[in-house]
Amino acid sequence: MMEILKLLLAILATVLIGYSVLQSVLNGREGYTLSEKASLSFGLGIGLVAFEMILFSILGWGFNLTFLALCWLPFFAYALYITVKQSGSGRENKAGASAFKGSKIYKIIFFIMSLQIVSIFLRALSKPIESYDGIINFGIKAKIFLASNAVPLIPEAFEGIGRGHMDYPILIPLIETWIYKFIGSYNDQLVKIIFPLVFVAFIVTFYHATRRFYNRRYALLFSFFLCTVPQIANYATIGYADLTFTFFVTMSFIFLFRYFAEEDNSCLIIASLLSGFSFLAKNEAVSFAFANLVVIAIFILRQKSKLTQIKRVVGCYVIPLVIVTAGWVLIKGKLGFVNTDIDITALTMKRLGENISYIPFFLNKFQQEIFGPKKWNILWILVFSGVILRHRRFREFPGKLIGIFMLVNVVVYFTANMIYMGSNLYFHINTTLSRFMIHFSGVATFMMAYLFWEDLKGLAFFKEGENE
Amino acid sequence: MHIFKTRLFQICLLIWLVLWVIFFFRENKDGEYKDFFVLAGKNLEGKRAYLMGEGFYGFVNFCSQNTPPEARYKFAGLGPMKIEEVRAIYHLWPRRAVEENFEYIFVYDAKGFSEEGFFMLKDFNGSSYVLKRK
Repeated sequence: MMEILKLLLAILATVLIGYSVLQSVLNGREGYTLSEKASLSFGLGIGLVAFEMILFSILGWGFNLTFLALCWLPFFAYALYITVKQSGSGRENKAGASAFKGSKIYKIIFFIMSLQIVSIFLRALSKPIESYDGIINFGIKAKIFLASNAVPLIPEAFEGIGRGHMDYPILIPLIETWIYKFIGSYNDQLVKIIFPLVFVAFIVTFYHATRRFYNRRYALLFSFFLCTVPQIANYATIGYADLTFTFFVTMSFIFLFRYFAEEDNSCLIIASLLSGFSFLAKNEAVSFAFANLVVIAIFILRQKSKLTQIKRVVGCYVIPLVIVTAGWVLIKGKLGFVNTDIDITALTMKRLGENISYIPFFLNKFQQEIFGPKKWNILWILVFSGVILRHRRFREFPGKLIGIFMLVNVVVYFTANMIYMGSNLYFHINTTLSRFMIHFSGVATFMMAYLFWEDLKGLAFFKEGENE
Repeated sequence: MHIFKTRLFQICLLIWLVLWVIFFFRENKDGEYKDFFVLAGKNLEGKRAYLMGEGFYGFVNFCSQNTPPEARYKFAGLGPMKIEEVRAIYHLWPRRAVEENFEYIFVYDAKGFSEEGFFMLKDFNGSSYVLKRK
């Protein structure tokens, strides 16, 4: 019982850290509901805690919970000041549940989403960490960090822990360590609560972000799609980093998209922080960060005041991104961890030819993913239908940027597979393609919402406040 | 056109809901629902034992109890980097699973396995045991 209370305290502390920074960044801006702030705060919180733990390790301070928490005190004080000021003036935006009132189908949708979320919590918490990557790339590193009370900066500390990927980023093991420190014991069953919480945060944040562009019913429907994709739900239970990574890259892009529409600097800062945290979660962050920079560059080229935009982007996007990622890059360099799967300097024409010969297999596997409903329901069929039937919507701005963002990522992922240097590309594609597709699922669903809006907005299903 | 769009949308939503129901309630190949109910009645140790297999978990604990935390070992009798070995490495840490300069060999289910320069330190069940460098 005591362990569970401490676990709740750990979650609360994570949310509060995220909330402190979020409120400071928003600096009194209106239009954010409590659930939106709470879910985004959790996402930001896990990133900030991981960033802080990396920093503490570099400085040789060790993981002292009091010090780790005290560092956020200035942000917390400022956030409290902003919150009190906002509640005094009644500026806090209230959620509008009335949009769903009296609608049977929305009651069903809410019920299914609730059932899905409850099942994910039960499934995740029914087992300790036991999946392959959950152990070898994350769980065992968390054990090392807990025992060392820091990220040990000597490679020998990571000796003899199996043939996992040493260069994999350490956000997940760090958050697991953070939870262990709070609950005061090594309980790798309770620690798995992180993953369903990330799932909930992802769905809620996605709903609110989508709601800003469309109406509530429309946003709920697409959040429902995302929530009920079996593959995404599975990855919220097994202790992998892919869902957390997807949360970061999806929300980073959507906040960037919001910046293109609203030119609000706070969106740019949040997008930057989330993109930075994605580097702490998975190496694939390079692709999404590059795609972000490409769309930012296109956006700047369209602006009259290019210099002002460049200054904004450097100050609010590039600098926070560099600060967040620098610590991990430093640790990786110090430990000498390199990616053994992709090494362009070792690439030969023979190897490239071998990899290219796998393209038919790759395409076959890809079509199985798209048309097979077991993992994805009909998500990708709908996404590709939208792309084919409504491709003209990509000509409009800023919708064009969603298409470019997706295209850049697809090209980078495909190229990375073609220059893959691991032992067996067949095995690699077989085991990772469906996982890679999770990374794209959030932005793809957002893109689908964008493509179909003009067709669907007139349907009675999406008219708010009317009984069905 | 409006009716067509409405019907098409309803069909897509219906397909989505039906597929969701099927794949939500259908037992997956790993027998997750069966596991869920079995695990519900077990404590954390019991869960670990169930997931690793009672016999193997018992052996891993046996190795842990009979070797010091700084021990360097390798496995014999397990396929390299199978999920069982990965789970055992995780459970046995801070003992280090190494390819060379190991002082112990944890032999699992491989009766008669021996290696020059090693002696039987502890026997688990006749076919699983711990060897130590002389």
